[in-house]
Amino acid sequence: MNRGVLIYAHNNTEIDYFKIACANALMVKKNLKVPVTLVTDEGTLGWGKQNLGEDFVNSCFENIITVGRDYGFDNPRNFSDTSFSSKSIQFYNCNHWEAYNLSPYDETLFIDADYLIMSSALNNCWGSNFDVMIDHRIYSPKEGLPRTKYIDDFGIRLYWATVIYFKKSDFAKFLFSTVRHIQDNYPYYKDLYYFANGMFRNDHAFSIAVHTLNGFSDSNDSVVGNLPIPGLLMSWDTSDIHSVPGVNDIIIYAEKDVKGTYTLSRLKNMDVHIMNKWAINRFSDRLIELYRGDNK
Amino acid sequence: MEERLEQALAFANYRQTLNNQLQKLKIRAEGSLIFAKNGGNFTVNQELICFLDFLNRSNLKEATLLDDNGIPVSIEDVAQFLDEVTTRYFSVTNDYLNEYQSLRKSRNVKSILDIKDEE
Repeated sequence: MNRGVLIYAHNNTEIDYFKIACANALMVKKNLKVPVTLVTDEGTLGWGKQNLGEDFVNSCFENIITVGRDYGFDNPRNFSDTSFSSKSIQFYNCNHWEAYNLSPYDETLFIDADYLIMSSALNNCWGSNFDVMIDHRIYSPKEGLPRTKYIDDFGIRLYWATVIYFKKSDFAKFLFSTVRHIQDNYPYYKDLYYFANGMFRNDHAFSIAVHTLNGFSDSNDSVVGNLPIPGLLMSWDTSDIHSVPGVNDIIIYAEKDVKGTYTLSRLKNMDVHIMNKWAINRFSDRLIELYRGDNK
Repeated sequence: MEERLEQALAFANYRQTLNNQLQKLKIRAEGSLIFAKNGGNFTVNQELICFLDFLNRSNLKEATLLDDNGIPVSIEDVAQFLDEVTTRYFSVTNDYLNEYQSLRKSRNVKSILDIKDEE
């Protein structure tokens, strides 16, 4: 069985997802020791190679798959850089359903570019009895125990498409095709499941797909497994990065309940989803420098 | 600000940071105690170790165990599995202890987070 990590990177006018993906690919190699495949578009790849150098880019990824970009896809999203700055920018996330077909691996860990791999915890996924694992348990750097969020106050369990493990199987193929169906009929599902806003989110699409394939039930006896971790650590976009002192070591300013007040949280050997894209862009050079040296 | 209030707020900040870091240590240890075997996931704890030890002492070479998801998993070599989970248990709890003790000794936010001035 060949195994690997799949990362998507489609830049927009402000966020350099490509650079973040390069940094994270090096982190994957350090901690999970598996190959990494990047899915991107011609424009993003051209910019990335020009910016970082072709040799470096090729050293980050074993495979680079370029896909066509639908420039008609309109999906504005508010990207925050702490509570004091927010900007509406295009969020290109309409092709995650293709991951099943694009992945060159028998077993794939499909992760967001900004889900930084700082531990080997996800290596427990390989060889799982589940065809698909995706999680609904999350916690933040300032919180205690993992909890579950719901699509709305009366809604279904929210599964996070941040990390998805799948193996080439009929069920995984079925799940991803269901996600595509939901995406193609998003206005209908938005009304059916009472989403707060109209922005397309893969988290919602996967949550509805899991709910549907569970026979429209939200039971713990799900067709998908939880990931073999206590939950996904989420650093929200209202938080910021204080520093990256070393390999697998990051200090976060986590915003407390009162806007503009922070608590510091040091995360060592823990995977973390950094939702403040500007913060991670500010530190991507530092991450590349650290992990490039460490992987040599 | 009144001095007593300032001290109280500084202490509150210290306690919050300390509790937060202790919580992170706990969750990390819990994550490290998840052990993957033959497609199943087992949380390594005293219960699992005792049960495996019981099987081993009963001369059971192989057994079927229910994993964390209630899925049956075949264990071909009980003694080896016992050895693996026991090693993992002590490796994780020893690290946890060392870091826990170091945190408990910290008397201010800077030392809790071990922030150097250049950081």
